[in-house]
Amino acid sequence: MKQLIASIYEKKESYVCRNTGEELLLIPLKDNVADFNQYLTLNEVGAFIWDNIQLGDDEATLVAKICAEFEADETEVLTDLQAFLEKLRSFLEIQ
Amino acid sequence: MMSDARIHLKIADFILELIVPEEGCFVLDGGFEGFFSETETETETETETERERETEAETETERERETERGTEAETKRSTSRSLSRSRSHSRSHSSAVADLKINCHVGCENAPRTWGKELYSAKNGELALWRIFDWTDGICIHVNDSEELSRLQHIAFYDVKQQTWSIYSDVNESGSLESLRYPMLPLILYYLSTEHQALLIHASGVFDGSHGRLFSGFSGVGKSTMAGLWQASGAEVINDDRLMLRKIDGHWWMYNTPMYYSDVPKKAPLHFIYLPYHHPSNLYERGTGIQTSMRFMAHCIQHGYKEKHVQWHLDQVMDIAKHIPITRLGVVPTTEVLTFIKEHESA
Repeated sequence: MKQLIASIYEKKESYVCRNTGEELLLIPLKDNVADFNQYLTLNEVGAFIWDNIQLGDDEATLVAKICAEFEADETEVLTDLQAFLEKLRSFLEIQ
Repeated sequence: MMSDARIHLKIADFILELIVPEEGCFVLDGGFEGFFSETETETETETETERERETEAETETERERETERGTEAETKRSTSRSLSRSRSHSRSHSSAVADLKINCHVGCENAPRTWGKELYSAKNGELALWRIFDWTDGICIHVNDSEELSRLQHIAFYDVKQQTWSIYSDVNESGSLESLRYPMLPLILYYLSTEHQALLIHASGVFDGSHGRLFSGFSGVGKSTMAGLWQASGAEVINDDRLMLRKIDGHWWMYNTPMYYSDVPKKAPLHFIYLPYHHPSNLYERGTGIQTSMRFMAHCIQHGYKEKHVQWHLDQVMDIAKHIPITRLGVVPTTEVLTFIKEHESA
């Protein structure tokens, strides 16, 4: 999972982020052109994770960051985080 | 020493000032004919009007001679007409009001070799229609001939701060300079749009005298069909393929821009946006939220080369979506869809 988190971090530069007030919009840049047919919207927690992912983070680090920001159960956060990271893996086309 | 001539074009209410070499032939094809700025004509003095008449008379005489001379006359006729207009207009039109200046130069080989690293390449197979390079004061674009991609058509420098283009072009087969030849003008208009509240979009636009409606989508969804249906009902078609949208004094407007065929400038207020698609029955699905905005955004024309342009596009689309309803429209292409649309708009 640490490798997946590192891959997500490395992909961040290839995406344009736009905060729409309630959601964070991720739009892929291909050759510096935005592909508006392929985008992902993230809720508040998803946006927090996207913004705070750092190179070298593992699951435990991210869970700690999320729990520090939001009042949530650690076990529940871990389950949700794993599902979210898998969703990002698919969207970001990470093998 | 020969001085340069000035031509003013009014496109989407932007004034473009072309500074062209007076010696030799400079041509704007038929698509530009209606876009010569009319602003100056209204402010001409009587003397200037007289001069204009004289110039036109000279041009008429020249046309007659050219007709006698044969096949090359067509190109030179449009050239002499363009330049004669520009001379009279430049007397009364201060260059200070131009939104954009375009210096037109002869010869790609005369362009300064001062560009830096490549930022973007608009590839068409192995070759590129244009390539964008970093340049000290902005960008440099190498534009190839759209019909022969291996042939360099323009080397153009865009000074972002000065809002000035310098375009170097080789003369065409007829010996004429075509500085705005496709795709140069759409590129210029695109970068102009990034400096103002404006967007270029694949869409048709119609105005029925009270409401402006835009139909946007990829090829085949019925943009032109919808424009044709509205036109048959008496509405004016602003354009059936490409529009420029501008926000002026708090309101969004749609404009046509020069195409390959002759047209005159048209504009209309924008009240409704539709994303049509073929469907067994007419269907009206008013959109909300980010999905609708993104569907609309997907049809905007992008020639950006950095994230800033994407963010700028998003700004404009979000503003449009905030003020103008965007509706997915299932369409059966008959006149009944017009009544269907009006009924739902007023509901």
